[in-house]
Amino acid sequence: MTEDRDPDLQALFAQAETELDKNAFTEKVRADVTNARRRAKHNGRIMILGGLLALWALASWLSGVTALVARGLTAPLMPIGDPTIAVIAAPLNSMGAVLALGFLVLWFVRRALTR
Amino acid sequence: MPEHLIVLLAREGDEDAFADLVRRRQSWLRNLMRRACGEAALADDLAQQAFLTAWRKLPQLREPARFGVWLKRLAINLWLQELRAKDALRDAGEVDETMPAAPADPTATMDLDRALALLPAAQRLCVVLSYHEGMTHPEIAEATGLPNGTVKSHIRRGTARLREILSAYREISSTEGDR
Repeated sequence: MTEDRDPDLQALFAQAETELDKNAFTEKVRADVTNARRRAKHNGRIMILGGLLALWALASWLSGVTALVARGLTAPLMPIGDPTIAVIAAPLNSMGAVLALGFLVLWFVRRALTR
Repeated sequence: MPEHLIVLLAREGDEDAFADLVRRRQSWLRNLMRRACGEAALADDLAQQAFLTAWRKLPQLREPARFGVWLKRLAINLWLQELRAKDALRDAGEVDETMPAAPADPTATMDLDRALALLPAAQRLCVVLSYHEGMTHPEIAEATGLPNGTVKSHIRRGTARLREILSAYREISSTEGDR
């Protein structure tokens, strides 16, 4: 495919290229970068502080939710009479095992599709 | 030191390495933006913003050897955003110009930049990317988001208009030289 560039204009563009003063511009960009870095650090500190405050304020509610989730994930799917077999089968006979298996299958499917 | 190695250092957060990249690339990018915008101050602002965006997004750059192309893409996107903002203001009736104004004094020195300033923004951008950057039509279409046919027609019409403006200027200059 031809781009059909006008040779006169092409020569004119090449001639019109000028070297611009680099020091002042570079310093401006450098100052921008330093400010951006400082702002990012400041925002990061504020977010960490906010997160810690939120954890502190919601501690009792969070521990209740965590206990509830843990109980739900470890609850047996099928009742097993023998306590020894129930303990051995616990990692597979639970909601957590079903969810883990589901995630694993999804991960393999995604990998197969994106390869 | 080769540029891709400096890019790798800058990607790790080395500000001195990034400053070195700015020093190497600033003249090229500012010249490109000046041709595309037609305003030196705005072009420098956009180039500055492009470098700052590059600093922020540098960890996302997978191929350090393509830093120049990537930086150019960032700058073009910023210019297109600027154009869209101007269009929005124009639609709101806050900007009344639809085409760049012709120079007040036709006999004044008209260099390439002034001739380019007389082209509509999208046409100027396509012409600049083609002549200044040597980009192909599909590359320009990809960078600007314009259809390939529109890019071709912008370049064809822009080139014809530029030739017209420049030859008019040469005629004026030679007439003045004869006096």
